[in-house]
Amino acid sequence: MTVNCSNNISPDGITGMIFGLEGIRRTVVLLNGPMGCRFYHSTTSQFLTIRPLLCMPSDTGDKVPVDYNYLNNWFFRQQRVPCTWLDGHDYVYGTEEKVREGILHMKEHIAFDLLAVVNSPGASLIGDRLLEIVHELLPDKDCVLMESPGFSVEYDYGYEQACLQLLSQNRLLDVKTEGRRQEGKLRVNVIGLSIFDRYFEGDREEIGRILALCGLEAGCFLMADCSMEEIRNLPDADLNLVINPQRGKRIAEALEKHYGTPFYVCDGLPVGFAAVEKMCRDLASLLGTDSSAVLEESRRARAYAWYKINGIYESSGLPQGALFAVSGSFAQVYAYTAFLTGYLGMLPDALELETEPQPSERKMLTRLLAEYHSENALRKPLEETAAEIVLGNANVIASLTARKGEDLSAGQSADGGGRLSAPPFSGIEISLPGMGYTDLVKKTHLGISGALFLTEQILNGLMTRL
Amino acid sequence: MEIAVYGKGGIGKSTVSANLSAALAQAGHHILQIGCDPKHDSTRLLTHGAEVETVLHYLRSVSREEEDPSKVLAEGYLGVGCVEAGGPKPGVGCAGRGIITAFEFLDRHGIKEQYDTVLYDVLGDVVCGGFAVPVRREYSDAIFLVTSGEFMALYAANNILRGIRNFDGTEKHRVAGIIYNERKVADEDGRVRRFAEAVGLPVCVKVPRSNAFAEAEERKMPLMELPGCEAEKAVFLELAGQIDRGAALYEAKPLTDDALEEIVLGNGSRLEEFGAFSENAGVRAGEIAGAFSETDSGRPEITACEGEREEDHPGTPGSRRGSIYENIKEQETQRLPLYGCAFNGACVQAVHLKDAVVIAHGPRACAFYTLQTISSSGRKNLFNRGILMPSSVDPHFESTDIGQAEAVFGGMDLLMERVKKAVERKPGAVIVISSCVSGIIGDDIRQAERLSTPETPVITIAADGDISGDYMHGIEMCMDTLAERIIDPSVQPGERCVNIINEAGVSNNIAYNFEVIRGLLDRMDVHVNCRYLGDAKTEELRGFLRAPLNLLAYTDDASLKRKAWLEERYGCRFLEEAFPVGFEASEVWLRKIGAFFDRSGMAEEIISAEKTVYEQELAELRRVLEGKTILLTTINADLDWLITAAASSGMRFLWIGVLNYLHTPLCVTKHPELCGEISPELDWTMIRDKIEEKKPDLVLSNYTQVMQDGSYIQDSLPMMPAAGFHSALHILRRWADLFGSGKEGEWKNDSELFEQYFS
Repeated sequence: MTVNCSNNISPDGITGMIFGLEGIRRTVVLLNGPMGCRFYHSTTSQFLTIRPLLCMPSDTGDKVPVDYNYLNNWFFRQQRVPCTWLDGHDYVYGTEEKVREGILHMKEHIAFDLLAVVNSPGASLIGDRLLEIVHELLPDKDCVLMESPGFSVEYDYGYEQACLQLLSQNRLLDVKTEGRRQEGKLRVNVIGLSIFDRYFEGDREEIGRILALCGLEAGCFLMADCSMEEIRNLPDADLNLVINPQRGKRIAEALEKHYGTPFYVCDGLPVGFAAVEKMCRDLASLLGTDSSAVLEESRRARAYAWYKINGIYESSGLPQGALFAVSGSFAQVYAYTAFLTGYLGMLPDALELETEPQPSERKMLTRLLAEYHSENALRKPLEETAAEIVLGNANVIASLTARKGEDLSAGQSADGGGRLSAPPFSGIEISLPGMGYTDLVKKTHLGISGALFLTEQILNGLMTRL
Repeated sequence: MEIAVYGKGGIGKSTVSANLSAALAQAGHHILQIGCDPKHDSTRLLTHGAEVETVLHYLRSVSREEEDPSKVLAEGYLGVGCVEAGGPKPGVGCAGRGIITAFEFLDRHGIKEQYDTVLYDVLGDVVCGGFAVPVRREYSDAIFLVTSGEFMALYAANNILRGIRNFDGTEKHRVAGIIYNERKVADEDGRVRRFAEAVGLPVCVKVPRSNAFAEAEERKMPLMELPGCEAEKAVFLELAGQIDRGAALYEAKPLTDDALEEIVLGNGSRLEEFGAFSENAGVRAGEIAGAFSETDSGRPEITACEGEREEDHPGTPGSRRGSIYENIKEQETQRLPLYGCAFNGACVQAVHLKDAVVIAHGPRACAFYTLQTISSSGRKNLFNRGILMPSSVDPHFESTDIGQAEAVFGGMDLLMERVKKAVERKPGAVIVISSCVSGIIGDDIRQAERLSTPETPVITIAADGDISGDYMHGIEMCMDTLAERIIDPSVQPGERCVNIINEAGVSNNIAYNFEVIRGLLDRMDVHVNCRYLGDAKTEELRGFLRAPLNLLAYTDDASLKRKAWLEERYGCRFLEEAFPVGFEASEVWLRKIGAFFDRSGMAEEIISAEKTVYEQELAELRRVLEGKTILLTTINADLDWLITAAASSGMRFLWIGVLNYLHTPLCVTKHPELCGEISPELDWTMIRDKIEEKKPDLVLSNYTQVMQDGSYIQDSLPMMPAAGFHSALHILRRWADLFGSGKEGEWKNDSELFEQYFS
């Protein structure tokens, strides 16, 4: 019957824009849209990274938390992503007045370095002239208007557009690059991380650590808990490192065009030893630095992992040949598949891409799968997978658990509230939403630490099935 | 330089635009003409009739990576670049959005940067924001109005001035003047002249009525390319010359509708003009006039016009005062924020019909937020407690993923295709719910009901995002619609069973509470017939009336409305009480159900057994809690379950502040004698003072805020308390533990460290 009708509904462009801009410190993102578009972003953003309390504007630099009374109408008592609470009336008569009032409220009561106005899909249909209002009311402030959030476009596209608009609307691409920083270590900006990534804080720390091991200084982690000042210093970097090609390549191209900064694009996310080793060797080659320290650390990590994997392999033959499934963006599916197949010898059983890949992306993935005679994995519906390890967001994992659970314990889970007797597979979260686990120890799937953590999760996941 | 040519549809602006582009090209400009009319014939003469693929049509067929701007850029006469924005067919989609989309495409590929002059040919009848894009400052440097002496052409020209005025106010001057395209109507020169004088604009050129234009049309070329026709050509060369010489730009000073009528028609009346028109068109004058009046008075004036214009005519049909606009403004000040949207509420409710497919008709963003609302409690229950809630974690929920193409061209084709595929899978029902985007572009989702089959009804809920109302309204819409379409009114009550009504919500307690209630019912051999709506099958809802008794999960306003509706419509019988919270309520609830089903003896046995446990526990708790005082701030009403239990343990409420966010009458307690002061309209600023004044031992709130000074203990109160005999006991036990330990976690002292390292 309706077994196969549930889809993995992934976040789209507007979420990419909002969380991209929320990745800049001291930002207020005013959503010009209904409250229904706001709740998820407000609630989620608060916990994606450390959020100091909003403060009042101050000429003296004093930090006075905003009076709760000012967090009513626009904020609805939540600290992040205020909104203009559009309704049917506004769709007919326009939203300009509300946007104007909203901006004035922020200006008067909230201290911020950047104010962003993001239209909801509905608001973008009206065509209000908001850009002039934003610039008129904030002549001396950094501000950006996202007029068209796109309709069902990818998260990454929205994220990228937010960055490009931020740079162009504030004329940050027009700055003169003469006299840029000449001294100190070579500096690398990091492009393509987002606070909406499952292990964002750990990702950022690990990439910074790897760069330091390569003798490089991390510059701006663009839209990933960076400041406007760091964005202004983008031209000071010697290289832009694009961690996630789908989310950062266009940005790097724009920076190269305007600042003349060269860029390096990872093949996919640097997941796994081989991917991070290649990235470091390439950076060393491009910048004339030494990658031996990081390669040495990687070798030691591989040696350590070998002992643990080998113990399991000797007793069970695993992880060799174990089936896995991945649901995610192209960058995720490609990177995780490459690591699980290449390093652990596992086999892809079902791969689900959140959105239709671009032709070049499909080609890359097909080529990778052909090496393992696993092209069918792209055609197999996720709900039919027999995988022992499923990588995806918690909705995917929970949904599959429900289906497989019903199969395993027929009748037990009917009519709500049945308890699962045995987990049908092991789920590994690679993107949000999560199941609800609160992380205090920073974790990552990127770099050398990430390769170890992911291997650890997989080995433990497989062992629960023995 | 960017120039916009605006005019009423059919006034000849495309002909004027094409010839002006040709004249500018002859004068050495490298010019790009962009047609902004959905009928996409602006550049037809420049391309000698060759069809130019419209941007919007092209964008439907390619991925972003494959976009190639050369596919929509044709080269016309003398190298004039020709682009047509295109748009949807009449009656569907959103043409204004189409213009915005096309402009974004042109910007993305830097097409305009290849030319020194850009000319926009824009329909001026439509005044929505999308068609106004070329008027925006970042696009047009100069704006020409094309008009004849016909009243409606002048009316459109005046409206365009209003739009410009809205953007520019008085400080910016961008109107280049009027291009008078002669039609040979009576007093035409006089009308145009009087209008031009009244709005303070020059008539830049007069394009004479001439057969040469017809000939050029026939030969599919601009008149500027025809041999001869020197007089006509001179007009466009003159206009091009004015542009080259840097013609003066003027402020937009639109007239009121009455002033326009008086100035243009002089002593005549608009009705007479329509009378003359209607003779030709075979339409009666009254119909036209009536239609016009209605449109006129209903149109909101966005811009205030200055001086002796609109302000001089208060109360007239075209002015703001005394008009519908005034009423709208009045309504606006009274509007309250809508919490959530009806689309979201309806979807969250509909997925509980677990063998149905729910199709969200909207952009993926809307479905994504909704899925998080649906799945949030299910994920937590699965992760923390291993409880599986199938409707929450595996909802049969799909999105049509309205894209740019559907936003412009309409989304009905996409929806019908999705519904057709869903029906083929033979679910219990297919439920279609519309988002605000589908509402704005005018998709008529009811058409999908035509795809119903005997096995699978297709049910539509036109929530239109929040256009129809808030989250709670969406829940109501969904409940009403599903009941009307699915409940079989011929089924008779008979079995020893109950329906459970309105469990709706996103609380983590839904699954737990249901298990508690079902456990109590099981002990009396009463089974659950249908959960309306909570993990119910279509068949169960169809047999809804089989249950002789209905149980409300809550007695909030929405639930009571649902109860009244079911009583009136189907004669349903209800237990007055909601799911019981606390011992006393559980006792009453169980006795009533026992009496209804002739199971009183069983009910008393259960109560007796539970009472023994309850009293034993309470006696122990009293040793710690006796004499302790409480200060409570909450959004909950009906707090007697907590107040009575606290009183039984020897505690006392000093002050209760309730945030009445729905602004409806509240009943906080039936036992005011057990409480101190009650403030039913909580003001957050009062809390600190109240704590200072009352000096409580315990401060409770739904959201705990760290602000204690160490003199009291602070704890949170669940927004949706657990049901059953012992729900209050669990909370009292926790308080006893907190008082017993008397120790705060050391982490609370680290807020200063947070300020130091992360602020």
